[in-house]
Amino acid sequence: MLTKYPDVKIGKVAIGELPSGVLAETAAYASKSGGAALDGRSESLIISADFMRKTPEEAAQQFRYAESSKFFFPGSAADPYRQLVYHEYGHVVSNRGGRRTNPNVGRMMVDLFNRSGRAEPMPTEIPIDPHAELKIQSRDLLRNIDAREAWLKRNEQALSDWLNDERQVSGYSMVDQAMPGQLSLVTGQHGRILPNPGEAVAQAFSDVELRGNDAPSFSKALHDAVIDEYRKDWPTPDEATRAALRAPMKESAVEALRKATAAPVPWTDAEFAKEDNRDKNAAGKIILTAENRALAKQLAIETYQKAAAVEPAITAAAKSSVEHNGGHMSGLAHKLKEGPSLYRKIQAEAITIANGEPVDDNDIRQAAANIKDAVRYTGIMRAANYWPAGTELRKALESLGAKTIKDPIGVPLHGYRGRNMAFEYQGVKFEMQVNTKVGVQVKARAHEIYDKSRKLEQTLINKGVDPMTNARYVKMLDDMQAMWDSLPITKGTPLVQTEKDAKSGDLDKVIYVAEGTEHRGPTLDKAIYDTAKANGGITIDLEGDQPSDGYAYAPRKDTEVKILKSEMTPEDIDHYIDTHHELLSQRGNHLGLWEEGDYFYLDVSRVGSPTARTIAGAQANDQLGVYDLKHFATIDIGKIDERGNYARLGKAADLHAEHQRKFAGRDERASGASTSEVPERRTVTRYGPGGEWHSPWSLDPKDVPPSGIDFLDHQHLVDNVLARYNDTVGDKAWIRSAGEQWYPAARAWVLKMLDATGSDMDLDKASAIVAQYSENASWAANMARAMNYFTGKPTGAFKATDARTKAIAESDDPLSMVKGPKINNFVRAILGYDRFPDAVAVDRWAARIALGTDDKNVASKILDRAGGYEALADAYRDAARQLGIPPSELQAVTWVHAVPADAVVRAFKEAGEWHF
Amino acid sequence: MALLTFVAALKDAPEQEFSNPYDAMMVLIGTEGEADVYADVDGKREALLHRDADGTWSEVK
Repeated sequence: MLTKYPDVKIGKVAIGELPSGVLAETAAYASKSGGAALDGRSESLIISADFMRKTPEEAAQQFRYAESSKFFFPGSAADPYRQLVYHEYGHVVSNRGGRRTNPNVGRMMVDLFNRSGRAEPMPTEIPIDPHAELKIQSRDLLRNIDAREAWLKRNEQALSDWLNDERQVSGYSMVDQAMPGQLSLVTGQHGRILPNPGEAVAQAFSDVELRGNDAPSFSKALHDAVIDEYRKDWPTPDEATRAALRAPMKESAVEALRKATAAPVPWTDAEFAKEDNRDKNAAGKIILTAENRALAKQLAIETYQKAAAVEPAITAAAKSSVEHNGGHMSGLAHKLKEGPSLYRKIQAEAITIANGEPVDDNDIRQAAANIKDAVRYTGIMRAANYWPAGTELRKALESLGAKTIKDPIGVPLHGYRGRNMAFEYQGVKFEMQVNTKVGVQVKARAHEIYDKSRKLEQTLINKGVDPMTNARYVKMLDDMQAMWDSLPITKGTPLVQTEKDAKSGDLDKVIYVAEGTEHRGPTLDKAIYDTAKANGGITIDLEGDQPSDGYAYAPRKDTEVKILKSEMTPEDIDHYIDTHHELLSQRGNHLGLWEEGDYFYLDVSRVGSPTARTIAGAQANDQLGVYDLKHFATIDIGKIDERGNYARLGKAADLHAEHQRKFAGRDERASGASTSEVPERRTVTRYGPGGEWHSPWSLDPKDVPPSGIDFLDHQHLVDNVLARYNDTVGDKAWIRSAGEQWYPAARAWVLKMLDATGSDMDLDKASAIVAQYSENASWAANMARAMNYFTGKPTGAFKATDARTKAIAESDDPLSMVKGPKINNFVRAILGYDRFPDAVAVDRWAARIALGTDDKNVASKILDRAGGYEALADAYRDAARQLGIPPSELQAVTWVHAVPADAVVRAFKEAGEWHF
Repeated sequence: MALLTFVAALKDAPEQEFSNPYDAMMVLIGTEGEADVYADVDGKREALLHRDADGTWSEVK
């Protein structure tokens, strides 16, 4: 169902306890204001646990009875579970379409009956003259209703016979459920003669899904109607919905949808023109002709439209598979490549294909056909099942009907560890990159080096130097490889010799398949070695994680090894890991390495939270001390007495408290946070849509020093932001979805404004003007002024602001005219991640989220200090990198999660408070 | 858990709800006549923007 009708929203699908006799239940979201459901969301789809406890035979028996009594449609008992799920899914699809079929169910039934040949002809209606006096119109309308009612009354028996003989509806849709075996009707008000239209729709939906063309005509008509309604509401931004609202009174929604599909794409000519390829040939003449460009542009638009049409099905299938395996999809807001980007790519590719010859139509068409990333995705998998989960994803897409074009057979022993797959679905090629969270970070870092290495390589070649003889260049290659090699290989991952082998498709090239987590090559060892040499020690697990906080101790006596400092090599570390691999693989265990005198010591180290409990555990293991990783200090906790027996130096709680007191003053100076309380103080912040919230860390206003921002711990800020984002799952997934759409929607809004007002201004300039109007304005005032500006109305802003927007409008470099970090980032977030990957608008709400506080004044204070904005923005950027999403998207998602409900409206009204 | 939605209301036309305010504003661009954009927090509404019959937008205070 999800594959066939992917564009639905369901908070939860579950088997659960329901009232006795209820087989299943789909709960729709309904706003208290009685308005249409947001996004047509269904809160839950629950199948009765009681029903699922029945044996299949008992379930079939129950359905057979319902079928024989006409309560369910024929064929239901053949597959009760499927019938049940299809029925509930019918509600879900209907909810998505706003349940707009329901009011028409009665009328549709009567119309079908009228055409069945079993009724006397329906009386002709009196045409209503819209220009006539109202009382005349009312009179004619009532006459029509009366005539129809009278006709229904005369034909009631024939209608009932038609329904019963042809099993046009199921008893479940009828009011008189107490009388199974006879379908009866309530002839009520105009058009509403079926008492339970919602169930009629769901029954009809499952009937057609189960029986297809064998279903009766009324089921098919309702099924068609509900699918049509569902298709009208694609997710925002939505041309169809917009068009329908623009002409709601005069035009049918179907007609509006047709027009919307044929509507121009959401980019201006100027945006395409910016991407014109101006490469020149040897004679110094621009290679591409105007005709070349026109064709490239047309194909770019077609490619985008085709991609946009098939994308929802691909997204649903991919998301479902990835999340099923514990992963998540990254950067879904950017899954579609924009038209101008496609245009740029087609031109460049065509020039390459032409290979020095004049570019012709075939080259352009070939270039468009070569596009593999009109739709592109990144699936972030858990490291533990990275490869098998990727394989399941491929199978899920193949089940959808996608053809695999590319899928590496494994990872090389050294080098790139990502899995870049490509598929084709309904004529659209798309990319699916699979990686782990750490892999995404490595990829970003490796890419930076790659860019530099390419530039250096070109410079060296130009100078006639073989790059491989250049030490800096070779080091870059080594660094890149080392980064990839630092990633662990996990169970089920096939290994091949080289990257070329990975792409070969030749399964004979697979050397072996990993049976557990392993590290290839000396890289981890070398990293440990280098760090230990530089810092005098390291504590690290086999995944490469280095805890920065906690108490560490070695639980066993027989695992310690000491090696002379002057003699230790990476191979010694490699050997130690091999020897103690099983122990080191256990959860919580780390490799501990430290220097003492002339020796390095290696041991299996257990890291626990910095609490008395960890000390007690260490004492139970006869430990003489634990090492405080945060403060780089040993806590003495035991000794060997004269008789050679172990003796505790004190109670664990006392030893811990004394140690923490020793560092409390320093911590306050260093971070502004008190560490005297364990666990750390966590403030309950006010309730946002995300619910009651405890930030992992909270800034106490008392801990803010008079000046500076050095007391802020970057990791605390990152953790706070990440925790908010990671909470937007399950029934809070709508928050993530809203945040993902935020900036793309803002950009679409600016473009729409330009388009609707016939302005030839480019997007940069228009966005800069919108941003400028945010100066000293609430969000609402900002928007009002901007819309007035573009529609030629008095803006309502100060004259000085109008003068500044005039200057922006006249400038060749509008972005440089925008002042202040927040507004600058706001503009760039609107303009998009592709161009401004670091843009993140940190307002006071965003600051509060990172600081884990509700205190607006503290947030403002930090933002206003030198470096304050960047410190907070960097936390969002770092967290976004870890998640593999744009920082602006992260900020929007966390904003929606965090802002307390009762403060939302105020947030829109507080001057300067909100600058999305 | 509160739910935040944004409502576009064109006079004499069906209301539309959106998950972000930009989409709510966007559907109103190109239309004529009085219009409002509301924030809706779990059914509690407050007007944010109003467009008068002349097409001038203003903040609702």
